[in-house]
Amino acid sequence: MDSSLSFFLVLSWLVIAYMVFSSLSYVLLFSIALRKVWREGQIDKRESVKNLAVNEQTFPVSVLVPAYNEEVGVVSTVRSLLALEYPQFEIIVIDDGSKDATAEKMIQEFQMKEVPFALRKYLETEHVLATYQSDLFPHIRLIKKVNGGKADALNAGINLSLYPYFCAIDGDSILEQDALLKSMKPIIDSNGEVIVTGGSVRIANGSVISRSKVEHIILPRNPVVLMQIVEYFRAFLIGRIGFSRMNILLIVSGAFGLFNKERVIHAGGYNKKTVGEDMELVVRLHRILQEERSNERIEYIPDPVCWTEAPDSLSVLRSQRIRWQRGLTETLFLHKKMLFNPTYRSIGLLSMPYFLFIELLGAVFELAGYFIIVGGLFFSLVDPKIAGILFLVTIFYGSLISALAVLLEELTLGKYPNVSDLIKLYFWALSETFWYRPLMIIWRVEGLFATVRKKQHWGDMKRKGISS
Amino acid sequence: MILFIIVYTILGLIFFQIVLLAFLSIRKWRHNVDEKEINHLYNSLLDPFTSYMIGHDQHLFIDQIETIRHRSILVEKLLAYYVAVIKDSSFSQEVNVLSEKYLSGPYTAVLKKNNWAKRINTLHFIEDFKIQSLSTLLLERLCKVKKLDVEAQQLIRTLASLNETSVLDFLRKYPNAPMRLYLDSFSRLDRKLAEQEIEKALAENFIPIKLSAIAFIGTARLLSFRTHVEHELQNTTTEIRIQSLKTLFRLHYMDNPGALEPFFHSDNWAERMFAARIAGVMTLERFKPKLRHLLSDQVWWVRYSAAEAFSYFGDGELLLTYFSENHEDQFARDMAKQWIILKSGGQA
Repeated sequence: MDSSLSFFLVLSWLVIAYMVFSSLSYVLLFSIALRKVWREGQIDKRESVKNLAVNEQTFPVSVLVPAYNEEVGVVSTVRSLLALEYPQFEIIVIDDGSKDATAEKMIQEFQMKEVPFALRKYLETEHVLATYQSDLFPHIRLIKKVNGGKADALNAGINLSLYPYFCAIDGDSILEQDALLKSMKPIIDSNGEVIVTGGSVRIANGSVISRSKVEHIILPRNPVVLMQIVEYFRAFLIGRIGFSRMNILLIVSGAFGLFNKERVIHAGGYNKKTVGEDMELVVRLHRILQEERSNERIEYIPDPVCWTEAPDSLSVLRSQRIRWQRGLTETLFLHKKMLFNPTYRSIGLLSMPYFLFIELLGAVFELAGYFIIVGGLFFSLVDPKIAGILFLVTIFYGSLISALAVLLEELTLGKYPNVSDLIKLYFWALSETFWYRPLMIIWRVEGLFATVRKKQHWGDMKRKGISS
Repeated sequence: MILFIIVYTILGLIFFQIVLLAFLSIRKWRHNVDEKEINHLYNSLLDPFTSYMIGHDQHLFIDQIETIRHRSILVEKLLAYYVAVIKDSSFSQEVNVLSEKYLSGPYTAVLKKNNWAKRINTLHFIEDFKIQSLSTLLLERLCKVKKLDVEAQQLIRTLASLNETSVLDFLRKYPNAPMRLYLDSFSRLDRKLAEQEIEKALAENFIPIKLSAIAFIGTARLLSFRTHVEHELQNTTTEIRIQSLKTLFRLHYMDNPGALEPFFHSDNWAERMFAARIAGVMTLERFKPKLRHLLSDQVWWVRYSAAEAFSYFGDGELLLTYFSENHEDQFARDMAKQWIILKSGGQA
């Protein structure tokens, strides 16, 4: 009995130390992020990209929309892309063997005709059944192919694309009109030294979107969606900006990312063997950059450029999080060589360990923490004082950091228009430790186990469509 | 002890956050009130402003704006809207008068402040409204520039928009300056000044400015420089030759199309590609056999451009159909097949 008690005592202090360390790393990232967002927050975005909109030197972009059973959202997504303000771009929808009418909707809506494209085989993909071009908008194309997963679909899109940069977006995302300009700006400003830009993704549930344009930003009422908004603030505003400033950003959201095509082809395209193809590609690009001792960079832009539909039910959210955790595990495993490897400089010594210990194994530590809190307070498993300390640290790690992210968003971007939005988000963020975070932890641990049971799929989110 | 430290740390943080939340809420509330007032004033000023700009009533707008608290914000907003919707209005006298009177003072103050974002915004607006009186101040700032960062680049663009050709001399200090910056400067200069600077650049051997000048001839469609560009096809520097071909492709014109001949056999695929493209847009019949040969080039883009070139000829569809069935090369047949149906696309 004594030995088990001392085991729990040691475990308690371990978890406390872990949480304090993790929280401090968040605060450090927060302070790194703050300077950039503070400095750039007041920039008139319209003025700063106006010149690019009419400049022939602005690189043309291929927008890739991989779609699997997206008959509800694909047409509105493409319509929103047509409204993009950009000198030259093409839209390529890749129907990855959908079982619904994704391709038919596209063909009907945009009057598409089959065109025998002379495809380049930069990257191996599943068989392409047919390629189409729109009669109404010749820069809209459609690929119908045998199902091979999202990564395979994106690779097929890369093969068909004509332009030197491509932008990968989700089939049910709405891009802001100047999203491509804002994302291309760091690439142009750096004279091509930036090879990837990732934009902020925002949750569109609740907002008024008409004709594929976000007209009014309104907070949703569903607490599950509200908490995801807070979570996105925490991930995008604190984590990604901080990492981007040190050029060790490992994640560019699959919902929106702009890539140098040549670099991606050179790296071998998207990896079909992982569900976290977006993160895996970015890690691989970093790996190559470090091995080549290149000065090229991967950058994140804090301004929101992409709106997406978030899961509004716990069951869909659960399967999404399991998939994300599985993707993270697979990526870290595939690139385990980089971990603590000084050859990969700050990527190997900072970023990879951060993702391993905080993003991946964090769930295990947190689960142990919750177990000790409950065990300590109700079953005298540990000294209630220790359980109390752990409880407070958990609040700090969960709620207070998330609340800080809400305040950072308001301090810098302030996208939600009403004072009540800010207050509501803040207090929901404080509630995180008590219901939302435990759920996330359980699902993330489930995700760890799911890595063993490998099965490739697109995710089973039921789309309602976000645009009227 | 540890418990107390942690409790007080967390309580302290909660207190700090609540204070910050209160501050941000009040700031947001005030911002919303101000914005509402500005929008209301903006809408009420639109009519008198329009009358002022078209010369109907010179007094009503001035009388009203003089009494308003958010004067410079409103003038900036109204002028920004005006120059965005009315073509070439940046050069209008009314824009000049209003911006000099109400904005040059506040802008001078902002340029001296330590707020990076506001300085950048101001540089954009000075460019939009062509506030000539600020050029001396901007030139002083340019002299202090040590790094070609985002602010320095915008400073160069703004000065070029005020016809300060010295920015091109300044750029010579940075051999790695992006071509885009030269092009932005040329395009902002008054056309006559730009042409003088291009002549100077073409006579020089400083590659970055020469390349940019050739590129600008293409983007601005300066046909009068075509002989210079054709002459540069013999340049020993590959980048200059490729840029010259690119420019001729954009001009859709050559005095001596025969100069294109060697490029169909170039070792550089970009040269072969542009030769094919020029032959297409200028419908140069004599190069049809060369294009047929390029249809089976080892580089996809060259094959693509050769097939596209055929689509410009009167008998292009016929020829492409023939090649799609009879060309000895499978890749050439595929490409020809594609271009029978394909429409050029990509423009937004």
